[in-house]
Parts: sequence; C-alpha cells; structure tokens
Amino acid sequence: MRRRDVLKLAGTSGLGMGAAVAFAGCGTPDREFHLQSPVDIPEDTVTGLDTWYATICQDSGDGCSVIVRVKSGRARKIEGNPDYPLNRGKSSARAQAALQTLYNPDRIPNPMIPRRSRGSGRYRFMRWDDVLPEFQEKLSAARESGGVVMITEPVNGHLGMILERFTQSIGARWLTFEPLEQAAVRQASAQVFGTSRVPQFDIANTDYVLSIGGNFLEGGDSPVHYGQAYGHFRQGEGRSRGTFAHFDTHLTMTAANADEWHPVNPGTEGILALSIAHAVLDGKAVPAVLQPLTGGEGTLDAYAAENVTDVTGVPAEVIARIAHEFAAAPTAVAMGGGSAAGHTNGLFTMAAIFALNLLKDNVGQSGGVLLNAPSPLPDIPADAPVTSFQEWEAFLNEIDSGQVPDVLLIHGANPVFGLPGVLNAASTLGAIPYIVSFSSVLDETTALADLILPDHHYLESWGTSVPPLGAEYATLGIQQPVVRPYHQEFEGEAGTRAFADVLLSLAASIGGELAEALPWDTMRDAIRASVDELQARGDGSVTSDDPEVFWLSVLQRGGWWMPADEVAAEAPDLSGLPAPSAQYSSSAQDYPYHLIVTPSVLLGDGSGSLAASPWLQSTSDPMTTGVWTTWIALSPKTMEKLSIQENDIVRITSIAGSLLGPAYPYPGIGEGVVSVPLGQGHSELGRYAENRGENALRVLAPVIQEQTGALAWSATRVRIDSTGRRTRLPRIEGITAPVQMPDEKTFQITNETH
Amino acid sequence: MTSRTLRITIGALVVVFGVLAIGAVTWVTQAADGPKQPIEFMHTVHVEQNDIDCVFCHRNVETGAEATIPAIEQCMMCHRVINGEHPQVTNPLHQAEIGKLVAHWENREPIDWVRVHVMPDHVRFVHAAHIKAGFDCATCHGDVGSMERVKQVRSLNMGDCVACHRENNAPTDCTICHR
Repeated sequence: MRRRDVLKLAGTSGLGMGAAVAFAGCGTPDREFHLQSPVDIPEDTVTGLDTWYATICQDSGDGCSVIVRVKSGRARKIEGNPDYPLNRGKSSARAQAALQTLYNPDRIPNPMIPRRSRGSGRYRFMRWDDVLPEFQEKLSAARESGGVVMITEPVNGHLGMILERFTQSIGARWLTFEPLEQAAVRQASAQVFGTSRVPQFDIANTDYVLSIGGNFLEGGDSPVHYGQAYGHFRQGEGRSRGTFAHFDTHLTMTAANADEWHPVNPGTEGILALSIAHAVLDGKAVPAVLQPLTGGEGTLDAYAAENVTDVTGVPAEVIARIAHEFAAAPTAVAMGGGSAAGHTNGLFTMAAIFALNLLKDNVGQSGGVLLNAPSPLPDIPADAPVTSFQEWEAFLNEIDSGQVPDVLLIHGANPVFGLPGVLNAASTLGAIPYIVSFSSVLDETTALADLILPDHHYLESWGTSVPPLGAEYATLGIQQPVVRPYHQEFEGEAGTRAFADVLLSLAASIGGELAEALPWDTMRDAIRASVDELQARGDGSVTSDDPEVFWLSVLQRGGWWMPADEVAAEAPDLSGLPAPSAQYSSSAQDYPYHLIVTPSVLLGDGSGSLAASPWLQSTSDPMTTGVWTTWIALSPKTMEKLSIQENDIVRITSIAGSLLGPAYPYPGIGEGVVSVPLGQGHSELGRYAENRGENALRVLAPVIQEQTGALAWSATRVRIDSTGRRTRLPRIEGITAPVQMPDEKTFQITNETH
Repeated sequence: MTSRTLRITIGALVVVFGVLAIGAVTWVTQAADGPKQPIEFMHTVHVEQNDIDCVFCHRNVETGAEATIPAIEQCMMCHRVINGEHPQVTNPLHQAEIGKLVAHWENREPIDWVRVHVMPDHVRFVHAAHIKAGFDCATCHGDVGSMERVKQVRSLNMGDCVACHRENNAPTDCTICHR
C-alpha cells in the first residue's frame, strides 16, 4: 500500500477529498514509480555501481568540463574532468552546485501560459502540441514583417552557430546580454595583442604577476583555470615561488592572495599602469607602438611616479619598487580587469595595463601572454557575440518610439533584472505583443512572457563549448545529457524540451531557407556531424578509423583537443584611446562616493539562475563571510565620519535609484569607495532567491564608454544615508569572540601522545 | 433534535459509512494485488513453471546495490525463439503480452514499468550485501514466483529494517543506511 493508493482511496471515499487535495503535493512524485527496461543490456551499469559521465558545466561561466556521478539515473556528485585542458580535474562551487539547479523544486516542469493576463503571476500548464502551432504561426507571421527579436546570453559553440543561422535565416534581430560588459577588456586585447579573444596569461610559468584590477581567482575568463595555474605559480614543482603584486580599489579575494596589495583610486588604474611603464622604461625612449599612450607628448614623463601619487593614491616609492621588480623579473606578466574596465576610460586603462606586456616583450612566450587557439572547426564560433549597452539602449528607445517588434524570444538572458533600472526594461519590453521565454526557471524577464517553453537543464541536453582560454590546445568540449530529463515528457506530463531542439524542429517545419541553414533534426545530430569532421582529420586527443568508436571516445573524454599551432596576431594599434581621466554619473559634491559593484564568486552578477541554489546562497563570501543577502561594504573611516555603526541599514542613492542594506565595516576598501556584491535582489527565481537582498545593477547610472558602447558600470557615484534602522548581516566571521576553554587544560596532539 | 434532522443525520451517516466501506474494499482489493504493469509479465510462468533463477534476469543483485530490471535484450535471449507465434505458447493472453515485448524490441522502445518497491532517496540499500549474507530474495520480497502481479509484502520502512538488523546482529549505525 503506497501513499498514492491511500490518496486514491481517500479520493474515492469522498470524505477524504479535502485531505487528498491537501496532501497531493507531498510524498513521492508519480514519476518515481517508473522503472525502465532499457532496450539493450547496459554495459556501464553492470555492477549497479555509480557511473561517471563527462559533460560541460554551463553554470560556471567558463565552460569547464565536469564529470558527473550518476547512479540509478540520478546525478549525485560533480567534479572536474581530469582530462580537459581548461580545468584539468578542478571545478568551481558553481559547478558543484549544479545538482541544485538540476533538481530545483522551482524549475518549470511544463510549457506554461499565464492565466487571465500576462504578469498575473499564475500560470496554466500546457502540452507542447497545443502551444507549438500557435507559436509557429505567430513566428512565421512576424518573420514576414521582420519583427522577430531574439535575446540570449552570449553563447559560442554549436548553440551559438544555431542561433546565428536561425536569426539570420528568419531575419530576426539577435541581441545578447552581458550585464557587466567586458567590452573594454576585449577591445584593449584586440588593440594591444591583435586578437579580440582575451589571451591566456601564463601565470603558471611566470616569475612575477602584476595585476591591476585583474581578479583572476574569482572573476574574469576562468577562475578555475587560473586558480590551478596560480597553485603552480606559487608552489609548482621544479620552480621557485612566484611573486604577485596587486592593485585594486578594494581588497578582493585575489588581492588577499597577493604578496602585496595597494589600494588605488577608482578610475586611475590606467594612469598607474603608465606610471609603472615610465619607471620600467627608466629614461629610455617610448617604443613606437606605445606612442599613442603618451597623448602626443612623446614621453611618459607626465606619469612619473611622483606626479601621479596624488591622483592614484599609490605612494611613489611603491610604484618605483614594483616597476623595478616587474622589469627585473626573468619573466613577468601584467593583467587587468575587474572594476578598472568598467570606467568611462576603461579602454585606455586596459590598453595601458596590457601594454606593460609589450614592454616586457612577453607575447607568445612561456610565462607571458599566450594567444588562444582558434576554434577547431571553422563553422563553430569560439567568440560569443555581445550586444553593447548602447545598442540595448537604442533597441529600447525604438520600442518606446513605436517601432515595436511582433515577437520576442528569450533564452538564458535576464535584461529586466540586469539592465539599469532607469531604462525601465520591464515596461518597455512589455509593449511587445508576443513574448516567448525558453527559461527553465521563472526569472524577471520570463515573468513578462505569454508563453514559456522550458528548456532542459544542461545536464540533460546536448551542447558544445570552445573554452575561453585555450592557448595550449584547440578544444571542442562536448556537453552530453548525463541523466534523463527530470521533467520528462511522459504520461500526461508535458515535460521540458531542449531549446536548440525546439529551434531545429521549428526550422524543419517552417522549411525553406531556414531548414537548409539548419539541416539537423536535433542538436545531437549537429554535434555528431561536427565530430565526424574531426574524425576525418585523423589527429588530436582521440583518433580512430571507426566513426562510432571516435564518437564514443570523444564523449567519454568530454571533448576533443589537439596541441595548438602558433597563432598569428595582428600588430598592436593603440590609436583611438579615450582620455586618461574617467567621467562620472554625477558631481562629487552631491554624490561623494564611488559605487563599485562586485560580482559574487558564487552567484555571479545575478543574471543566471545561480541564486536559486541554496548551496551557493549559503556558501560564505570568501572575504566577508556574508551569506543569503546583500551588504554594503564601507571603510571604517567612512563609517566613523557618517556615524554609521556595523549592521545599521544604510541607503545608497545614485541619480538612478537607491538601495538598502546592512553596513559592513571593511578595512580593505578606500575611504571614497562603497562596494556592493551582486547576485541578489531577485523578485522572481523561486523560493530560494526571491525577495532577498538588493540588486545593485538597478541603481547603476546609464553612463556609456564612448569607444566601445559598453555600460561604464564603475562610473556611478552615490551618497550614503543612515536610515536609523538596524539588522544583522548573516555571516560566519566575528559573530562571537574567540574564547579559550576556561578550566580544562587542552593538549596539543604531538608525536609523543600518539 | 427534530425527527427530520435526525433522519437527515442518520441518512448522512449511512452514506458516509457506505462510502467508507466501498473505500475499505478498494483498499483491500488493491493491497491483494500489485499494480498493473504495461506488460503482464508473469513471475509464475518464469519462476514457478520454468524454474528460472532470479539472478538470470536481475543480474546485478549479487554484485551491486540494485537488483536492476532486465534490459529488453535480456528478455529477447529467450523470446527471440519463444515469440507470440511459438506453437507452445497457446494462451491468448501470453501471446498478446509476448507480442508487446517483441514490438518494444523491434521499435527499440524502452519499457516503463511501474515500480513496486520504492526506497526514499536518503536510504541506501545494497542488495549485494544482503545476498552475500545469505538471505533469500524471498525474505524481503515474498514468494514472487507465485505472484501474477508483483506486490510489496513487507513494510520495508525503517522499523522493519532495524528490527531485522538487530535480529541478525547486523550493524544499526545511522550511516549504514543513511549517507
């Protein structure tokens, strides 16, 4: 007698009807009563022990490869894939927590349409066959008038290729959304290193790392890769311990790992870099390629250490010493990024920092700057296209002025959450008459949708990834389904469907040019076709004459890679850089503090569904140990000046809006700077994320970097007011004072006692 | 209480008890038989009449945590020959059900059975350990060979497990089952 039999009984007896309704949500879901006889005898589950499958992690943001322990059809544990060149067996907290995005109780299990009207917050479950015809009809009609818009996350690999072809063939506009745009980093990299793919800084083999805002251990292209390289840099076998100097506006986790960290005034990082360059040159003439950085002066004398101390806040002797160490080290590398790239002069700053590598002449050298290998297949893009903030603003303005698209398709991006609040993205996008979301959780943008067609989780679907860092190997990582979809199409449960497969089946039924551009039935077929191309090459990490053996071996190892050829880059071109000084949203008088938003190591910038994972929510921030909410980190001196106590709720106000949070005294931050972590402040996203903390992206002023069109997300100035209310920031550190045991003498374990 | 309300009350009680009685009968009849499966697989035919060992089909039971449901390929080892049209298969029900199996094999469609024994996710039960300790399958599963439709015969809840572990001097640490 099972619980559901009791319920059946209760249901038939009438009396228990109320109880049946009340308890129907409890207990074992019906799908757990299914047990499958596979067609063929499975070779991999013979012993009934667990099986590990390799796939790509899409939550960690860098496309690491992971291996997933699967038992009885359930994913149980995730680790790094030891074979994969990018992460070599290591993984991140986000990869580990993917189990909780997979089995999240707030995943959307079926296609849904809003009850009564859009935004009512209540939905009706639908079947795929009932909703797809109308969707296809509306899409075809909108295609005639050119009124289709697709919004996705920046994506490369096969999904990137399919989206590009799909949008091109139906004449749709394709926008991708990256809240904290890294356009300055990419463009500076293109100008300095001649490649728009940000290169791999070979810290594993270098003697000296100089980082100005480059928080490579917690952000940037791949914290997992750099974390491992950093381990080798510090204590690798057969080498001496490297030295690491870091400058940033506040003490980040990366800064805390450095041998020395020096606070630098926000927006002056490029000036600091040129001052170091001046000291490195030590009286020698500025090389021709760096001449544009001198601003027509011909020399960098204006940036002599003693001249820039007041501006940057870094003592002259520190600049001189670090420049000397950088110049004297046998190999050295200069990295940049973080909030330095988010100022209006971000392009200048990043170019100045990257140019230090040209002085060291380390491009293409071991322990220097290594250029990434191109995608192993010409059809499969390595770059993920990013739509600039300027284009986003123009798109929203067009809608406001009446040029409203007919159909909006959304996948993996959350512009309503991530765009600055003053843009009113929700009400503007809400003017679009038909919005279809492919999100697997109800996020803020999906809440606008007229139709939700939930995607599979990435552990349930096919995909590929070209890793962001791949100087040693040209790599194609393969994402394969490791478990059967949790919400599967089965006996009346409509279930989820892979986004790419929905697009491909649409393409097939619309036909014509679209079907020609996308000739595959499923994503799996598309990937299989590419893997067959790789097999025909006959080289790389896997070789076989038999296509089937090759395919299985590639899946087994998580992808295919081969040692990369040397990459030919274009010559540096530093022209067209912005002025060295940064511009701000408002005057220093009314808004005296710099707002530096910091993506959380765990929750990222909040644009994905990471905040829906309780594991990530409850893992301590590495520096403050705060969990589950948003805090406002202030210098103790600032707090004293404003008479703010720890845990006082303060309001920070910019020209674009304000947010509240508990004040957290942080000695590792400059007096003029306020730091607020990102990732929280969701109004949707399920029970673990919604109505928790604040979203600092909302209060960013819409200041644009002229040269890149990106949002200058460090250019917002704020003022701080106390609200007179108090709360307690949930955190681990400093809650209770450390005390010794009062009476008992404690004994340390030594060799004698053992 | 007027006679009218009394009559209504008695009437209502009769209806309620009647409905409860029907419910109880449903309970009993359901408990007497296991759930209906997509294919009327008969353990009686395989185990009682043809004397096939449990392990021939549930091939992981001696080596792994799970006894496992056989793959269709395993069924087809015999049913390739003993298909629905085989002269020795005379019972029309058997012909039809074997036909379903063959159709699944030919269409390469997995069979979705209705699970009879369900352990919660926080329990780790390892079949192999119990078989190695010398227990018969029937200790927990009853005489499956005589069941036309498999049903659960023991509660298999925590009390049941712990009682049996105590009787047999097996460890009762929490982490033996919960980990």
